[in-house]
Amino acid sequence: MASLRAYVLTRILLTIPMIFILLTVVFLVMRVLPGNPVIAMVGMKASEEQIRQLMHQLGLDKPLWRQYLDYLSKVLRGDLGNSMIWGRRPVIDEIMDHFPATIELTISGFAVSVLLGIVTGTAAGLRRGTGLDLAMRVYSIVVYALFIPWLGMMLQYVFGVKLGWFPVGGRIGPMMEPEHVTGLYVLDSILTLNWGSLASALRYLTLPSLTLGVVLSGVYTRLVRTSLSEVLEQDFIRAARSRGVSERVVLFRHALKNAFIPILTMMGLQFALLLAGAVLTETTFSWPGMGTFLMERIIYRDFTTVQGTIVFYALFVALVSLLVDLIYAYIDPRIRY
Amino acid sequence: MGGELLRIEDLKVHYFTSGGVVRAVDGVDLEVGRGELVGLVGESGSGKSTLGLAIPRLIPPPGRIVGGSIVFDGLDLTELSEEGMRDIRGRRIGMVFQDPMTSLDPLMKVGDQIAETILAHEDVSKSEARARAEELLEAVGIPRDRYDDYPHQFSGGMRQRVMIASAIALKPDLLIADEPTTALDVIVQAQILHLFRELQRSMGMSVILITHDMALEMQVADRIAVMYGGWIVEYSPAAAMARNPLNPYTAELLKAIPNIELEDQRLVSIPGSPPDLRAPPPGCRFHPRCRRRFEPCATEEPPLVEVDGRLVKCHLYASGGPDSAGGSERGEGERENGRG
Ligand SMILES: Nc1ncnc2c1ncn2[C@@H]1O[C@H](COP(=O)(O)OP(=O)(O)OP(=O)(O)O)[C@@H](O)[C@H]1O
Ligand SMILES: [Mg+2]
Repeated sequence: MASLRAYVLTRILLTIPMIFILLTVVFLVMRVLPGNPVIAMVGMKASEEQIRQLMHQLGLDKPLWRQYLDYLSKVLRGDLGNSMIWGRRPVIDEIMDHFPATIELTISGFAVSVLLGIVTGTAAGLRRGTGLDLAMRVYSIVVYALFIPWLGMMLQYVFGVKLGWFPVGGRIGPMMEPEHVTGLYVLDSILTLNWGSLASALRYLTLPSLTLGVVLSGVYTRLVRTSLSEVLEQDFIRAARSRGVSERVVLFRHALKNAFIPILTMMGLQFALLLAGAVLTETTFSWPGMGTFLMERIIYRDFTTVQGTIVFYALFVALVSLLVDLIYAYIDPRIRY
Repeated sequence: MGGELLRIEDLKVHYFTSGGVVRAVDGVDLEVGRGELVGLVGESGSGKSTLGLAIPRLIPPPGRIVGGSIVFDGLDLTELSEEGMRDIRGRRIGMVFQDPMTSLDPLMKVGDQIAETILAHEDVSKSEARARAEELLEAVGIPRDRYDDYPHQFSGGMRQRVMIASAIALKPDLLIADEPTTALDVIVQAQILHLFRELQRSMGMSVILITHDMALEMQVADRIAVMYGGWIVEYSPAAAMARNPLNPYTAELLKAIPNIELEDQRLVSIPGSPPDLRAPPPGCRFHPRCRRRFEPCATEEPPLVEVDGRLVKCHLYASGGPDSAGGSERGEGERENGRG
């Protein structure tokens, strides 16, 4: 256990230089882009004087290296600063307003992709060389090549516009928001026993998570198939059968569990991709999450908010990959850090 | 002891590979008595594992049992439903495999893998299964507090003990052990064999011990079946076989045992190579390597002949052979347990 703690600590320490590099890059890229938050806000109509004054207020008139050092020292103290536009709210508050929506979408999209991947991959792995196997192979390739906004719009058209089963945008019906506990509507509805909100939240969540989940499931289909076929050839599977356990037990207790290890690795690797996919999904479905928010703030050249959001994303990805490693250690007793 | 537990007749198991049909087991007869330890020996590729796996119907694709019968305690296993077969596996037929390093699920506690056999067949609580698995651990010489360990924390010998414990958990009538000690060093090998013998005596199990080690079989087996190219070419009590091997192939195998009393410890190996089971030689499959072959060997399949209660598949003992003295072709139904 002590070694595990050391491992976690090292991992956390290693993320610091990563965050630092990322921060520097984002800082520079934002400033290289033409335009700045003042012009984006007040437009070209404002006078030179007004603009100069606003620039001064935001500290944008200082030399670049000065701005960079100021920002860095703030971040090191755990302060992401304030937004540069409109209300100038603290960046962390802005992030927290949008983060739960993204988490909700990410988790459900992730669940859909893994579930679909396991079902299709298991079907293929158990019936290798059959038509079903081929069908699953085609599925994985087609789905992998789909463009998220395109699939999103197709689903919106069919299930939203034509059939009218699901809403095509937004996160929950009007006036349906559950009492705030975690900010995750599904969870909050359950926690506050608000079934009306739960139904509404699930209905709004369906199409976006399907879009995200289907596109990302292809990778899992292939991986589960390969991994499962390999595991099924192993001696311990034959040994389990020789004990007289049912095929169901062989599959679930032995085969899938062992096949899950490379899948877990993939989950960790895919997580950043999942967040990127979530951004596209959010914009397609007007989902009020971090993606939509980030896009809007990039357009406004809200330097601090964009920087803060990216740092936040990076920390989040690092945290998840650490979590994946811990799950890994939990599942696989051979792993000793 | 006494009485017949298993009777295999004209069993054929073929692998349908893209390179052709591999006739891994091609018309095998074998009978195992209750409480008997039968050794199954032969060179690599002679079909020993295939025969061992065919009994509990665990032949992997592209393999298939294509003919014959496996009558186990009055039940023809080849005709049993998959569910019926599952009930036999683990409860009445236990298996131990060659490689203890890969035969245990790396993600499952060793104790749970023993309890698994119990839980698969008996309607007992988890804690009861655990208690029984702990006893089994002790029975095979592992402290019961190692129940919660994982396979990687065990040595090869200990893992094999776990495999044995899981195979004998429900006191099966038959234990099939496929090269259970090949992957282990000599000392551990001796310990495991000793354990086998002890368990077999105390539980009255029948055992089929598969190895390619004739010397080892001679030490432990009651009867020995010699396999060559998908056939059983001789089936005799161990002592009689050692004294007077009937099949020329058996004789070669015995000669190949390194004799520690001799100064010259060269391992005598049999010249020539084993047959390609996709296209076995016509006639007797051993004839290309046989020192005593004569004219029918290259063309006619040798009959299975009974000689003094022993079985041999060789033209030398067929009526009309060069010295067919003691041989009489075995007729259906008149076979007898060679050991009585
Ligand atoms: N899964 C399989 N697919 C195709 N052919 C196979 C398969 N398993 C075994 N065979 C073939 O069947 C024949 C008998 O193999 P088997 O493993 O039964 O021999 P063995 O006597 O156990 O050999 P060894 O001493 O090496 O374990 C060999 O020619 C082998 O190549
Ligand atoms: Mg073998």
